[in-house]
Formats: sequence, C-alpha cells, structure tokens
Amino acid sequence: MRLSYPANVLIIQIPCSGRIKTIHLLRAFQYGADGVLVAGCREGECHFRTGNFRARRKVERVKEILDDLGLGADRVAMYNLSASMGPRFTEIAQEMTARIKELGPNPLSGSRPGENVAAALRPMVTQT
Amino acid sequence: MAERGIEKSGSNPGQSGGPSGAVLVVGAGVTGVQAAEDLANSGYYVYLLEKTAKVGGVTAELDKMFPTHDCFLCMVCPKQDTHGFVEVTRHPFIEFLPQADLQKLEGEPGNFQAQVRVGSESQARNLKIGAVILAPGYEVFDPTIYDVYHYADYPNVINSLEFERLLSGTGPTGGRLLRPSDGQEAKKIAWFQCVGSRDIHHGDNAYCSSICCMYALKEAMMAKELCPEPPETSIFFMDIRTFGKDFELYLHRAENLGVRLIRSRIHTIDPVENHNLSLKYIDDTGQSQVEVYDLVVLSVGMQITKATQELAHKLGVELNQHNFAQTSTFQPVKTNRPGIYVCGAFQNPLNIPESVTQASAAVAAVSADLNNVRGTVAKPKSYPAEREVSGEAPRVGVFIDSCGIDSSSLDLPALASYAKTLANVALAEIGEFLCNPGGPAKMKDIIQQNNLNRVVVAAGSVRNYRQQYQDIVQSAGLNKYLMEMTNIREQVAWVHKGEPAKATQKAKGLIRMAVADANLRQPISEAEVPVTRSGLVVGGGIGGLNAALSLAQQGFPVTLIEKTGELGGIARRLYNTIEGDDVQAYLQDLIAQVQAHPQIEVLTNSEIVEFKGIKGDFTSKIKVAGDTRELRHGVAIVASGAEPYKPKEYLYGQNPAVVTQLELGERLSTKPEEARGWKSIAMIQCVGSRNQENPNCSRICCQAAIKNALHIKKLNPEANVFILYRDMRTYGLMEDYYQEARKQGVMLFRYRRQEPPIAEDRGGRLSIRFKDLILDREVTLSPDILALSTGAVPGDNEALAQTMKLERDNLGWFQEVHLKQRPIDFFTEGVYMCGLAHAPKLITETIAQAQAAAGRALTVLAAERQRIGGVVAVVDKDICAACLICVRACPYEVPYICEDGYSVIDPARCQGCGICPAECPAKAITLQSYTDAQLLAKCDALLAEAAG
Repeated sequence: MRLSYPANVLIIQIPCSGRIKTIHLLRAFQYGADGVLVAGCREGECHFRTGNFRARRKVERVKEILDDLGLGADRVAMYNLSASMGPRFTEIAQEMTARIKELGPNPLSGSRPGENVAAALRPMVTQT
Repeated sequence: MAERGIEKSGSNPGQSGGPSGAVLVVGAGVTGVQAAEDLANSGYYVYLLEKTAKVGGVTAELDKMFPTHDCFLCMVCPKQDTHGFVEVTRHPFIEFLPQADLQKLEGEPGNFQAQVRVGSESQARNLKIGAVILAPGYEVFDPTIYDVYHYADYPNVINSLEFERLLSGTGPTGGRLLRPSDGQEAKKIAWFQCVGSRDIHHGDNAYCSSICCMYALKEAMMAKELCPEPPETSIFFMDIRTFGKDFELYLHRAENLGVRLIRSRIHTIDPVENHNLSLKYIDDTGQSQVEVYDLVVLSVGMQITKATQELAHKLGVELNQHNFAQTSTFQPVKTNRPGIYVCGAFQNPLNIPESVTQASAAVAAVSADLNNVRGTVAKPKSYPAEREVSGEAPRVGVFIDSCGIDSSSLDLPALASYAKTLANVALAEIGEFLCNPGGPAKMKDIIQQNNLNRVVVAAGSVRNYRQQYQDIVQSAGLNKYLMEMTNIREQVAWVHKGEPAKATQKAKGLIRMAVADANLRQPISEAEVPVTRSGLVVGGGIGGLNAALSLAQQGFPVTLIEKTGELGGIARRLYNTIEGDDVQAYLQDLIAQVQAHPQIEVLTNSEIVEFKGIKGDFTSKIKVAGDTRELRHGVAIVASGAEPYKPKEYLYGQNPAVVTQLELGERLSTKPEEARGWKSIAMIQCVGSRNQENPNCSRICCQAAIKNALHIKKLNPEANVFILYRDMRTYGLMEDYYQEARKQGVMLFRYRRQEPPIAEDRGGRLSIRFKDLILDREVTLSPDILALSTGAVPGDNEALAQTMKLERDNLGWFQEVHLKQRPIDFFTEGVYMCGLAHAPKLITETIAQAQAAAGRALTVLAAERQRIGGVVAVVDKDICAACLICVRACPYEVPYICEDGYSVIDPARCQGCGICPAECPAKAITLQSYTDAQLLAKCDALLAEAAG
C-alpha cells in the first residue's frame, strides 16, 4: 500500500507485545523517546493468545509512573490492530505524533531531537 | 517438518528413470497452497501451477474470515509451519508456476509426464512427476442471467465478492461502504441468499454452496462494525445453514448485533429515486411487504469454471452432474484416474477448513503412492560446519540491499558510509543479494573473505526475507543467529516518499539499532535429535482406522489403541450413507486391511495412561488388559469419537414408538419388513441441538432424516413421512437428496424454536401437535414411529484430554489450533485429531480428516532428524526461584517446576512469544535473540542522535 506516515516513528520489532516489560518502555523515555506506542494484535486475537492483555497492563502501569514523574501518561499508548490494517497503522502513527508534538519534547531527552516515537510491534505484514 | 535451507538435487529434478518424487499441484488457492506446503515439508518436490499470476485464489480477495474475523493477510506465524501464502513462492522445494496451464498428462502413477505452458514462454515445459493434486477451486456464480435481480443494470446491486472488496482496507474504497451509484455510505443493506444455488431454474445450480449463509452473516456484521453509524442489515434467506463447528454461535452473534434475518425469497426489485431499490417479498406470515434499501448484495454461490471442466476432460477425470470431480464416499480425494487426486471446492462446495483438510488428505494419498521415492528429488541441503566465533571481537558486515529501493527516496551510499562509522563495523556493502542470481554467492564470499563474525542486513520485509538471508549466512559458515536484519524498504523508503533527508536519517537510526543488536548476538545452537518415525492412533472407529492405515501405507509403523473390545466405533451401527453406499461392507473391509497390515499393531481394550515428550519423540504408557507397556512414537492422532446424544425430549425411553434416527436407520436396514407396516412416520429435527444446553448445530441430523425418509419411501411408497424442522441443512451436494425427498412426497413442516412440537402419549398411542406456519393453525399427527434427529455429544473424553494435555472447547469437543487454517492440529505439535472427536461430521468427512491427520503427521515423520531450539525461552536455573509465575503466564502451558526446584521450558514446545521472560520477576528467563540486553541496546541506539 505504501501509505506514508511520519518519519519520526521508529519501530522496534518484538515477537509479541507480551514480550514488553515496563522497564523497556521506561528506558525508551530515558534514552530520549518523546512517546512510545505499543502495537499488539486485536483483543481476543492475540497470535500468542494472551500477550496483548499482558502488554496492556504494563502500558497502564507505565502511564501511572509517567504521571508520577511528571512526564504525562499520554506519552505512552497501547493500540490493538491486525497486520492487515495498514491504513489504521498510519492513522495511529499520525495521531500519536500529533499528540506528542502537543506535549512537546521529552524533558529527559536533553540534547536529543524532540519528536521521536518509538514503537514496539509484533512482526507485521507489510504491503509490498 | 523438513528443515528450511534445503535444495533440490540436480538442476532437473526427477529426470532419471523410475518413479518420480515430484508432484504437480494445480491451483494455488488456500487448498493448493496447503497441499504444496505439506508435500514440500515432507520431502516431495512440488510444481505449483496457477492459472493467474498470484497465490491465494479467492481467499486473497476476501477481507476477514468467518467466524474468527481474522484477516486473511494474517496467515503468518513466526515459528509454526502454517501456510502463509507467500511462503510457497520461496520454499526451496516448491516451484511456483504462475499464469500456467496444464496441457497434457501422459503416463501412469509414479511416472507421469506433464506438459505445462508457463506465462509467455514459447516452449511448453515437460515435467516428470509422480502424482497430480487438483485444487483448481471455483468461481462465483454470475448473476447477470438472473433478470429479476438486475445485477447488470442497477448500479447498487452487487455480488458478495464485490462487497468483500468494499469491506477491505486494501480495496477500492479503502474499507468504506460506498455505494457504486453515488459514492455515498450505504445505510440500509440487503443480502439475497441462494443466488445461483438451490435453484433449478435459470440454468443455475441445484446444490447448496455451503458457505454463503456464513459469509453473508459475516459481511453484515463487518458492515456494522466498520461504520461509525452502523447500517441496517437484512439477510433474505430460505434456510439459514450455519452447520459448521461453532457456526451457530456466530449466527447468535449476528442476531445480537441486530442483523435482521428474513425468511423469504425476494420476487421483485424496483428502482426508485436516487438509485435506491424497492424490494417486494412475502414474509414469514404470508404478508406482502415492501422495503427500500440503498444497497443489495447477491450472495452468489460457487461453481466449477469451464476451464476446470475442460482440464478434467483432458485428464480423463470424471465429473458428476454438477461438474464437481466424481469421488466416492469412502475415498473422498481420489479421482477415477489413478495417481490424480482432488481437493477443495473442485470436489464439493467446501468451506476453508474442509478444503485444507482435503489438501492434507490428498498429500497422504500421494505419499502412500510415492512412499519409496520420498526425498529423492527434494534433498536436505548441507551447510559447512559452523565457525567458532566465541572469543573473537565482533566484526560486523553491513549489507544494504537495494532491491526495490528508489535512489530518490533513500540515499544508500550515505547509509553505507554512515554504517562504517559504527562500532565494530568492518565493512558496508550495497547490492542486490537475493534477487540478483549471483547475489547470495557474492554475499557469502564477502562474509568469508573478510572474516566477518556478525552480519547486519538492511533490506525489505524482515518477515519475508529473514530466512533467505539466514541461509546465506549459514552457507558462509556462520551460525544463522549471528545475523540481524532491519527493514529500510517497507518501513522507510516506501512510506516516507518525498522526504529523502528524513528517510535517510531514519534508516541510519535503524542500521545503528541493528548493529547494536548484532554486536550482542551470540550463536544459538539448535540441537539435532532423531525423530521416532512411528505413530500412535487413539480410537478404532472409522477415523482411527483410516488414520492408522494411511500412516502405515506411507511406510510408518503404527499402534492403534481402542478402549472397547471391538473396532469400528459408531459406524458399526450405520448401514447406508445418503448416497446409498454400504457402510458395513466398507467397515469390514477396512478392519480387515488394518488387521492384515504388517505395520499396524492393534490393541483393543486398551487406553493411554501417560503421555509425555515432544513432537517427533513422544513416550506413552498404554494399559492393555491389566498390563502397562511403554511406547515411543513421533506423532499421535486422536480419533476418540463421540457419543450419540440420548434424548430427554419427546417421550424418548417412555413410548416405544419414539426412536432416534440412528435407531431408525438400524431398523430400516435390519428389519425392513417393519417399515412396510407403517402408515405414518414423523421426524423432529434439532433434538438436543441448537438449544440452550448445546447451542451448536449437529450437522449430520438433517441428512440423516432425509436419508431415512427416502429409505422408508423406498420400502413403503404409501407411507406418509413428516419432517418437522427449523432449517433444513442438507448442505453441498446433499441438496439433491432433499429435493428428491420432496419429489417423493416427504412432507416438511417448519417449526419455530420457541414453539417446538409437543409429543403426548394418549393411552399408548403417540400424538404430535405442532403449529403449521403456513396454514397458521395447529396440526396433530398420530404416527406409528417418531424419529428424533439427534446429533452427537463429546462423551467422556476428559481423562484422555488430561492424560494427553489436549485442549477442549467449552462444549467438550477437542480444540484445534485454528478453526479455519489448522483444523486438524492440536496446540501440542505432533498431535492431530480427526473424526467426531473434533465435531460432528459425516463418514466421508471423517475419512478425509483422518487421511489429513496422517498427511499432517507426515510432515513430522518424513524427516529422520529434527532441530529443536532457536528463538525460545531459556531458564537460568541458578536464579530461578520456582515462583510459578512463568508456569501461570505461559499461554501454552510449557514451563514446569522440575524435581530439583527450578522452572524447565522445553525448547521443542516453546513458541517463542517472550511472555515468560517479560513476567519473570527474577529475570531468570531469557528469550534467545530478543534478550533484555539486546532490546535495550536497540532502543538506546535507535534513539541516539545520528552523528552523520
């Protein structure tokens, strides 16, 4: 489909969103990400059955921590979508980027540039 | 399964004399793909011939599948050997021949010469093959000839396949339900069922196409889910035929979502203003109705194309009166011409699970024929010994594959020079390392000449190409896990067009990330262990007998265990099929074959009491006549059957005139004289099915009623037969018998679920009261016999499920991995199911599934050795606190706490999801290839600012 999405969205591939630990998400902020989105399978359709529910819990936990730190819970988000939902992925990428731009750069990012969104994804079919 | 990284021997496979281990599969739809993959994974070389340019067939045009609503593009699995469509085009044992047609086939089984024309090649190719599997599929009925529906002249009358395209995110409207006439969102949509099916007028098809009720429900539900303002949806139908496993639940879901179901056939469509459509019909109560819709979808059925009919003619393959391949009940995938097998919609109008089941069954049949030449054409490729790299400092080579990357979208030379500045990078090369014929060799040479010990590939889709790059790395003498890949094409070049500077900056980040990962990579050894090349079959009914026979015919020793003292299962009580085949004669012959086969050991009065091990190497304990013996086997097939439902309803067991269809069938066959004395016979459908307790349809009972009704009419034409039903579900070609029953005067009365018939005992005389919905008044029958159409219940399978750790659904049926794509496989790899243990089904369906289970089992047993490990979780036993969190977190129940008090994760059963390492509080578990250190290093490198 080759639908375009903002180039500040950077993808780290993981086998299942269930592989994610809270520390991974927090480190991304420490390393300078302005936002982190976790993309898992749709609820009830997890390729590994329950991974996406576990991921959601961790994202909720990280939201609390970000709030406590004053970074803002909205910097992290969990989305559920299937591998065929290319258009939805680009929408999400745009939504997330717009939200993060509104929040401004991650105060922890220091000298690093201010509009990176790291995304943790399970392998997705890419339209060719 | 056969290992990847395998190559065919010689440049012209199978050209030597003697039988050929190559197979021609005709058709690359979902069915042909399954056949090709199972064959190729079992050591056969496959020519996959496809008339179009693409794989996937009709399914590639569909959006989501019923009833799971998975998208068709999701047919991917990182570790399991499921049939991803793309997989076949790059499998080393499958040669995909697009735009091809089979022109001639000469010779005999084992030694066929096929003449095939491929694309625009001027010369036809001659292929030497041992067998042919026909999976040419179907086309949808063309409703243009139906003048009443005005498909050709009203823009807002479309067919169901066109509707699928509207639903699809990759379709012409980007997944919006826009009407063809004006591009406005459809607000009120009607589906017309049985367009081109169940009709003997208009030159269309008398049979039921089996799938349209389900796909109409799906489309209506998807329409509601897709639109912010859900449209009104109505399905106009004759009988709703949701007969498959869990399909009835799907019907309930649709009703709960507000999909209207209207039992009527539309007789007139009139165009009204704004290209809307006014529909006239007679409703359930006999009232005339008019409703205006803005979109009409014709649920078109399946039919066999002219081209397929011509192909069959050319091959000498007989067709039946509906142009499907002629097969027999007991040999569902065998055509009249030896060596040619059939599967999928060309055999019968079938849904995906039955189609892929038949594909695996055809593979088993081919494999029985070509057992001696398996692996002669497709030989495992050998790799050089892996170079020891521990103790060496990382020397990373970065390979940037330019395939498909336009220089205006990404500055590749800049990427290469940037890559060279990264830690431990020895070189960076730009080239086409896969698609260019010399590419792999060049990459291999560079790795070897520069003494690289880590490799980074920056190219296209990781999922699509990883295996092929791993193959190159392995041929260069490196462990394949020393390579990391990153996608700079689909994730960069193709999606950030017009922003080359930003794209290049992002690609640098990705390469930085991959290099950081590669620096941390360690070789992962995959252990190679021998496969125990034998099978265990649990259950000695028709399913188990066929599975055992099929495995034995493929050359593997089999132990068949049966808990009772006799073989044959429920089939011992069946006499005829609806087609008139003699079940008892077949069964006796089958049992004799099984008992005489030197490779099969039959143990009656036996049961399995312990089961452990992994795919390719299970150990079971079998209790036989008080003794317990140990058995090692590579696969297990569960064919434990089911039990007939024993009715609580309608005076069963109280009045001797009330029997089940099974009992009626026995009496008609063993005491036919009885029926000659009957004047009136009543039958009630859906007894013990489609109710609160058992929500599913039992699939077999409608045909059982029609079969027995026809049998009665044959014995006693004067007898009155009344069938009280909710929906007649004589799916597929069984519709012929339904029509025949009507012709013969069998009387059918529909009843509503909420108003079931009432049976009363009036002084010994049976009386049935029900409401006739057409006359709208109560009718009373006083039949000589009342036959209850009962289905099957799972029976007592709990002990078996616990012993073998098999999953069951909430109704107690054994649970397959995926209802559509992997209908035979249990979650435990190497264990398969067939027959009634899975769900109610007909004999012919059980046989196909049993053979298919043997076909799937072949993918394990064909290899002498198997590799285990790779991307799996490993436990550091010194850190493990045996807290049980991993035991509870694993969705596959793999980890357990061993006697020494730490968690053990079997590498052969681990699916590599990474959930347990994410949950382990002690960080005792690592997912190889995705360690915490790697993920954090990647994250850090990705977010670090590029220097260049």
